[in-house]
Amino acid sequence: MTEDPFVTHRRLLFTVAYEILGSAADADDVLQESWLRWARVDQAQVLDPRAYLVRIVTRQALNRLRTVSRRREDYVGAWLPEPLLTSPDIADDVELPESVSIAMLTVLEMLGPTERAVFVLRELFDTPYEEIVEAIGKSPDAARQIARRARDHVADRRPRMPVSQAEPLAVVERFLVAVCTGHVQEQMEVMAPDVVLIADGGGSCRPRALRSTAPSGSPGCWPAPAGRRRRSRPACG
Amino acid sequence: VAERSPAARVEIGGQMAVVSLVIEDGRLTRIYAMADPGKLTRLDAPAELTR
Repeated sequence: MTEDPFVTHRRLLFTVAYEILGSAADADDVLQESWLRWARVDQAQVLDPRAYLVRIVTRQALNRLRTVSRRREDYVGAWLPEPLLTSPDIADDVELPESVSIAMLTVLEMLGPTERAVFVLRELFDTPYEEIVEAIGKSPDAARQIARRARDHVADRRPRMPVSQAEPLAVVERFLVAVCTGHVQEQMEVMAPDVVLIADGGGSCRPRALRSTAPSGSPGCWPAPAGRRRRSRPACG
Repeated sequence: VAERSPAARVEIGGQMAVVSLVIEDGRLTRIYAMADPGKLTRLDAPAELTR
């Protein structure tokens, strides 16, 4: 027996849903709903199961995004995406790790639901316009226009990621050492003058320990050096 | 991966948080701090992502 195409493409479908929603929990729900739909389809009639499944997942993710984006607007404090731990094997892909970084997902958060779905499908998954059109129910011209608008929007806001991979780590190390040793001057030098702290405390309050880190604040506001610090690689990509 | 946009899991007084940093031109420009426990449940095993 051949494997169910849904199982074969599960990772891809999860990634599409996660990029559109910025939440792994919501992406899981969307996959569940999509699976139920897929189970009711006469699969023998489906010529391209991958494209068909991406379409189902996109539609479900769009519906979900429209619902949750209203909730995110009412959220107390900043709503940030759900971080994932990325595995080293996606490092070969140049764009994927950046696309699931918190920075990038936060930029995508500023797009409207349809814009975001179109951007994700077109820019990240190279989906042909004919398929995008079917997923979002717009004309090809409208889809192209939405794609262009989304691309410009993202280009204006995405951080300029460094080309060299060694540099960011060196900066982080310098920063952590400065924090742990309480060198305010050094901390200030590592931070850009317009550095921004965006904190998500779960929608009820701002996280106390992370309220302020600005160069003007006291270094004690930043996670206390006494705290147990475990370095890992949470996705954030 | 993490090298391009590094992140760390930190624990302060028993409270877990993920801090993700953006570095541009050799300096920190953005610090994202996530402390919502409901959003920090997927950090023990790598997520299965692909294009």
